[in-house]
Amino acid sequence: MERVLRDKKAILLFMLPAMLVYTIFVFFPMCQSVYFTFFEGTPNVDFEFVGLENYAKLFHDVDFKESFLITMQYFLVTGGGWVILGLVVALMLQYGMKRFSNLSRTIAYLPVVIPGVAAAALFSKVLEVTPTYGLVNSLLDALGLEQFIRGWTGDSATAMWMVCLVDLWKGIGYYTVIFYAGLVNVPTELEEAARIDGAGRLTVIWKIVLPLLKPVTVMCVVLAIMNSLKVYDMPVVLTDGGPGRTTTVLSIYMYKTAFTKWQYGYGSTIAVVLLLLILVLTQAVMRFERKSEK
Amino acid sequence: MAKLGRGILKFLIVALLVIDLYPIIWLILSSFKREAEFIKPMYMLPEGLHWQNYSVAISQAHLGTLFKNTMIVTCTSIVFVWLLSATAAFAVTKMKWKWSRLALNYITMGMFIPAFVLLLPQFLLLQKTHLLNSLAGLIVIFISTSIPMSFYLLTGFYKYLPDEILEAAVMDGCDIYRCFVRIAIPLSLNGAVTVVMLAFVNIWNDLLISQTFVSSNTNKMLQVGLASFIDDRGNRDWGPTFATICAAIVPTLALYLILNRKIIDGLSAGAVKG
Repeated sequence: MERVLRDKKAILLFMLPAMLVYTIFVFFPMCQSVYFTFFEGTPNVDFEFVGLENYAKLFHDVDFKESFLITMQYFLVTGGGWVILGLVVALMLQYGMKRFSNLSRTIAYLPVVIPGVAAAALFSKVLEVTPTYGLVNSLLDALGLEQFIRGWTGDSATAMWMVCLVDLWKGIGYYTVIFYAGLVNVPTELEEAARIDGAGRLTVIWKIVLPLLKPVTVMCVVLAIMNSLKVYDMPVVLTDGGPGRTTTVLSIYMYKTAFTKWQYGYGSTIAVVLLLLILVLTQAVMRFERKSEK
Repeated sequence: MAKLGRGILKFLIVALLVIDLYPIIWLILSSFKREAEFIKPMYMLPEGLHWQNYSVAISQAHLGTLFKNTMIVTCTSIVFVWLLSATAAFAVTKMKWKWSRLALNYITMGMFIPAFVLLLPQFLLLQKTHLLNSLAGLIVIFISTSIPMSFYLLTGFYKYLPDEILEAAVMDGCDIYRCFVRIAIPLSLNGAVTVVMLAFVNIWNDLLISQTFVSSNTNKMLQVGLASFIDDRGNRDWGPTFATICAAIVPTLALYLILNRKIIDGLSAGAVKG
């Protein structure tokens, strides 16, 4: 048994392909991205070492500051919404829908599998105002609420909120399903015992169910951090970063800097800053969980 | 009182499901409307099945080429993603070697690296190897960036594979390769379905990677084609635009509806136990 499981040749054969492609196409490029942040210009042509200048530039770059704040808004509204609403919907499905729970979960997860581009395109039509009213505006019109009719994605006051909302619509199901799986594993005996002792449903959820869900919640928070900070498809297709720069999240800013203005060094710097932000936040959340477990 | 609360809860759930479902149904219905019908209020049902929208979409948006490219890239990638991450996950969780823990952390670290951090170096790498603008280049990138997540989910499945079964198989004279093919793979089929489906959805739905590494029309991917079609004609030709969006959604939607129980269970198992 031991001999079979320690077979060096087999381990090498099993590990090597994955390790190789991962190292060449993910790990090295990541290191290279960090390396690029110390340069300016185009690699192999006129790549000039500039030290920490790119990082210093971030602090004076008004556009970067604006994109950073927009990304933070997205992180708080959409990322936070995914986790909180995902949990609420999972609780609702668990306690309110015994008979059709499978069907409900299937429907709740449906928007998750739709391509981001298609969802954005679909909602650009839902929110359309010219040449004809889209679904929302035509419903408002029918209900006699003309004063609310507006170009939802073309108005700088509402554009970012629309991007957040559409991605909320698309993403909640993912977190719902994960939370639901956690809820199913909560032993019913505990809940029953608490109910017999006279605790109400909400008390049971607050005092017993939620603490037991902590590992799942941490997992969802980590996923929400990653997914909300790296958002790209939704604002690109729905509003193309506009109107003005109101929906230009960091990933769009990075993309335009690197692939439209061909500033590789500075583009990499923006990307690396965002990577660091993701790493710091997710590691902080995971550490927090490990600490409170002791 | 409790009854009233229960009623409100039921109503809220139904409202939520309607919000989830209605835009998709509206999209499908709208894809059958004539151009003239778009002047009427949007919530109205189509007057008939105007299939011409689809034929216009197929010829104008070059749906055929887009589908073929995306199919080739997605299917080739998911086979390799599964194969490479399953073997590695098996070696890390079930076999005994000094660096297994390190290898596990090294690969799962990849889950935290967003795609756009890697774009520039990958672009240069593909340029150097003449894989830019080719489907092969896309396949290689998709395989390597999908491995961490698939690998992580599969280790969750293999961890719960009882060691006793492997032991019994070895007693009966199985070597390690047979243990993997005859025992680990069949007993983790739910994991395989989950991993393949997630990778399929991620690759099929991707915009960022396919848009960066392929610019030629012949090798364009579906989402890129969809985005540029909407840019060009989205405001003028509503019917064909809706038809194109519909066509882009169908494959993942169909795959999901066929496999949905397994995926939801698999995703849950990986997330909760892993």
